[in-house]
Amino acid sequence: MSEPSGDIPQIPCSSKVCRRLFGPVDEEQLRRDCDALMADCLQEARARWNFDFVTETPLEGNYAWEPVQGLGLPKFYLPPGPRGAWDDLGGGKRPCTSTVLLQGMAQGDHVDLSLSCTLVPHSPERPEVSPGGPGAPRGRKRGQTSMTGEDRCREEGTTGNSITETQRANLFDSSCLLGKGEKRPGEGK
Amino acid sequence: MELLCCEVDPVRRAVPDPNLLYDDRILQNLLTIEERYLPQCSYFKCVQKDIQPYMRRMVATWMLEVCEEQKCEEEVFPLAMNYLDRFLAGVPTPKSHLQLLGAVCMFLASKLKETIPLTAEKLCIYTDNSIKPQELLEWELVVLGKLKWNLAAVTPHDFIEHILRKLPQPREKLSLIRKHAQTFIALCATDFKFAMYPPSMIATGSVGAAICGLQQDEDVSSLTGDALTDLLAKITNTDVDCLKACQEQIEAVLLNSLQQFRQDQRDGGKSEDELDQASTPTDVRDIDL
Repeated sequence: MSEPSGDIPQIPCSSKVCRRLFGPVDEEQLRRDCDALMADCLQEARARWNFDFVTETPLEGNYAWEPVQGLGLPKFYLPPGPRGAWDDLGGGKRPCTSTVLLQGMAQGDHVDLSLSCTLVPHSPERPEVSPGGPGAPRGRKRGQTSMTGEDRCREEGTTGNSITETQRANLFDSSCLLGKGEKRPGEGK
Repeated sequence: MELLCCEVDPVRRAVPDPNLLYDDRILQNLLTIEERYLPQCSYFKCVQKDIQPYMRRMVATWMLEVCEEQKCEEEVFPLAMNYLDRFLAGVPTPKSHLQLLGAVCMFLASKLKETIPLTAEKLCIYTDNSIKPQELLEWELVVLGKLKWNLAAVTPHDFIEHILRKLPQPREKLSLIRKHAQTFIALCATDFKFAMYPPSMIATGSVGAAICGLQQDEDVSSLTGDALTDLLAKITNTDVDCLKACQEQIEAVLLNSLQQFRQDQRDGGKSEDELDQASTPTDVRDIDL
């Protein structure tokens, strides 16, 4: 490992800090629990956003999903290259929740013609939000449903505004982006 | 002839921003939002079946040692403990996953707070390779999902500068007080008893304990005892009695740690198991009471 900074000490394998605390780790159980908890998260997100993040399909619910052109996403959130580059970075088996952005990229130069969706909350009292596209399901009111997971998480506002929710949805999509930062050039074997 | 050694600190730090540190609205906002990031329940009673309080102490001690050896920013460790506690307050977890979770939480906290974050590979080595980088990355997503991506939690460190600047201490004493207060904060993060306390109270209690501790050796403060406590309580809108109790608990935990450490030293060669259970954060060792 070669670290760009000389100050952070390398880990001597004999360091007494290197230790396992609770005996052997059962890889199988780890995998099962990870899959179950990820499925949990997906289910929660699916209910919350009425969007199936696995198959990338909008569902019935409070939000109308529509394709948009030119996401307006900062470049930061867009993957750097075609799909192949991703597998190299992530090691493949990461439970990636969204492929929309990646597909958008894979089609080559058409960055503007993204397949990604943005959400439009149906709130009549909020006309400044862009109205749902033609054919979008209408008539449901946000107030009728309580979002899942709200009770357990005080940090969520109960009446989220559309901008942060859009950003959160994007964050959810870009969850695949996270984690690639830890691999630095010249480090890790 | 004087020799100058101009080694450049590889980590670039922003200069202290007076707009952030000298504006009371920031402090008020921190006080308003801090409780949102507390764990939702005392999870040993209501969520966890396998995990015991001493296991949290073991994993916390290990995390602190990793952070110290890697010279992480001070905030990384308490922030990682906040993630761990919030996760455990919601998800029943077997103890065999606990170290992996600790590593994941350090991974996330380090990415949020540091210019050069810890790498997955390094963290795995610190678990004696009991986990793989791939597993760490997968669990990172799980933890993020369960924390609802709310990572920018308020920690006691956020309050330190706000508190210090309102104290009548001579400037040259501040850095020592700050250093000791930071050590107390780390100590608190290793002890579950403080996990549900508001960060502002831990920060205030830590500054109080730091000043009282230092005062025994040298004159660091014109204010002492009740007058100091009253002023501290006022700064963070903390109840005076709660603050006193908190400060006493912090001092008790420190004493406990020091005794534990001395005993460890006396016992000399100990089995690895026993070492693991020692709850002495290494930094506390250079505090002399």
